[in-house]
Amino acid sequence: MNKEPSLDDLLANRNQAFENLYINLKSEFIGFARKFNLKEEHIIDIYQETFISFYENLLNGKIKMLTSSTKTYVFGIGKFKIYQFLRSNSKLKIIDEPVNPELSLDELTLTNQDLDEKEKLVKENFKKLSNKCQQILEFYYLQGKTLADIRDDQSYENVNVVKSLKSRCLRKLRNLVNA
Amino acid sequence: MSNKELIALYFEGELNSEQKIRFEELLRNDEDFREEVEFEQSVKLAIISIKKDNLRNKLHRLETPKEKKNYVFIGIAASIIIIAGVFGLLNTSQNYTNDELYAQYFEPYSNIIAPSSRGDASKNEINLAFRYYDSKNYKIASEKFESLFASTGTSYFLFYQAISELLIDNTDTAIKLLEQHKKYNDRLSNQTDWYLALALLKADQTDTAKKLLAEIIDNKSYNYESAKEILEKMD
Repeated sequence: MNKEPSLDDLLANRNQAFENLYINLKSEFIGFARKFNLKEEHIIDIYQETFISFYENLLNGKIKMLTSSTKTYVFGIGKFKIYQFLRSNSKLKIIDEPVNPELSLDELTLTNQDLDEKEKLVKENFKKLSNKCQQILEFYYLQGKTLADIRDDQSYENVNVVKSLKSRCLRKLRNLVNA
Repeated sequence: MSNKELIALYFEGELNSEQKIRFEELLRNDEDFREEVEFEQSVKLAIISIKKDNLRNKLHRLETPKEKKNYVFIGIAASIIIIAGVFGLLNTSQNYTNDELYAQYFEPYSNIIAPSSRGDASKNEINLAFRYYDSKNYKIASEKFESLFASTGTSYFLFYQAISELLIDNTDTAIKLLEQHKKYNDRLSNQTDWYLALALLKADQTDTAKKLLAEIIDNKSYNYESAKEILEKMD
C-alpha cells in the first residue's frame, strides 16, 4: 500500500512525491479514461496535464489544504481535462459531472494560460538570479510564507535581513527585466 | 503603514478588510502602486511557470521509453553530437551562457538516505541533517553533513554537502567536495560527475565541464541525455 503524500511533500516535491503519485495512479487512470473512448496517447497527455494543473494550484495557493485524498484530486482534475478534451475534439454536447461531489474544482485554475511578453521576460531573467535570490523569492511568493516564517526556516538573523534580501533580489530582477 | 508593507501583506494573504479597501483604492488610483503589484504578480507567475516546466520535463522523462540496447548506434550518435559540438557544426539559434545552462539543468538531488518521517526526525544527526536539506536550509545542512562525514567517514555525506554548497553559491567548495567524493564508490557515485559538470559550468571552467559531459555521455551515467542537450546548446 502506498502512503499518501502530504501537502508539504507535494509542494517541495520531496522524495519525488509527484513522480511516485504519477506512477502509482497511472494504470487506474488509464482504465478510467478508456471509458471515454480515448486513445492511449491522448490519455497520457491528459494525465500529464492533470498533474501539472494539480501542482499549479498547490503553488498558487488555491489548494491550501487537501480536503480529499490526492487520488480524488487527480481523478477530479483529470475528469475535467477529459471533458475539456472531448469538447474541443467532438461536436457532441457533453455535460460534466464531478467525480466526487464533495470536491469542488470551481475555484481552481485548470486551463493553461500562456505567459504574456512581460511575464516571459520576468521568467527568463529570474533564471539568471543567484540561487539564494531564487530561493527566497520562491519561498515568499509560492509557499505563502511570511518573512518571519522564512527567517525561522532558513535561520536568518532577523526579519530585516530577510526583508532587505528579498527587496534586493526583487530590485535585481527588475533591473534585469528593464535592461 | 507604507505602501510596500501593504503589498507584502497582500502577497502573504494577510490583508484585513480595512487594508483590503485601501489596497484596492491604491490599485485604482496610484499608477506606481499598480505597477509594483503587477510586477510582483508577474514574478509569482514566472516562478510557477518555471516549476511547472520542471515537473512537465520530469513527467515526460517518465514516459520516454527506455533506450533499446543498441550501443553501437548510441555510441555513434553520441560521438557525432560531441564532434559536431566541439567543432561548432550544430547551428543552434540560441546562445546560452554557462549560468543559464546551469540554472536550466540544476536541481538538488533528492534525499534518498533519510526520507522524512515526522515522528523520529530529530532523533539522530543523520535525520537532522537531511531534515535541514529537505527544508532547503542548505547552510546548516552543509555543516551537518561535514561533521557527519568527519565522524562516520561515510562518503555520501560529501555528496550531499557538495549539493548544499552549490545551492548557497559556494561553487568552488562544491567542486572540491565532488572531486573528493569521486574517489569513493557508493550508491551516489553514478551521480557525482553530473553535478561536478554543472558546478564546473557554473564556475566557468567551460572546457573541463565539456570534457566531463562527454565522459558522462560515453559512460551513459546519470543524466547522460541531459548532458547531450547541454553540449548541443553550448556551441
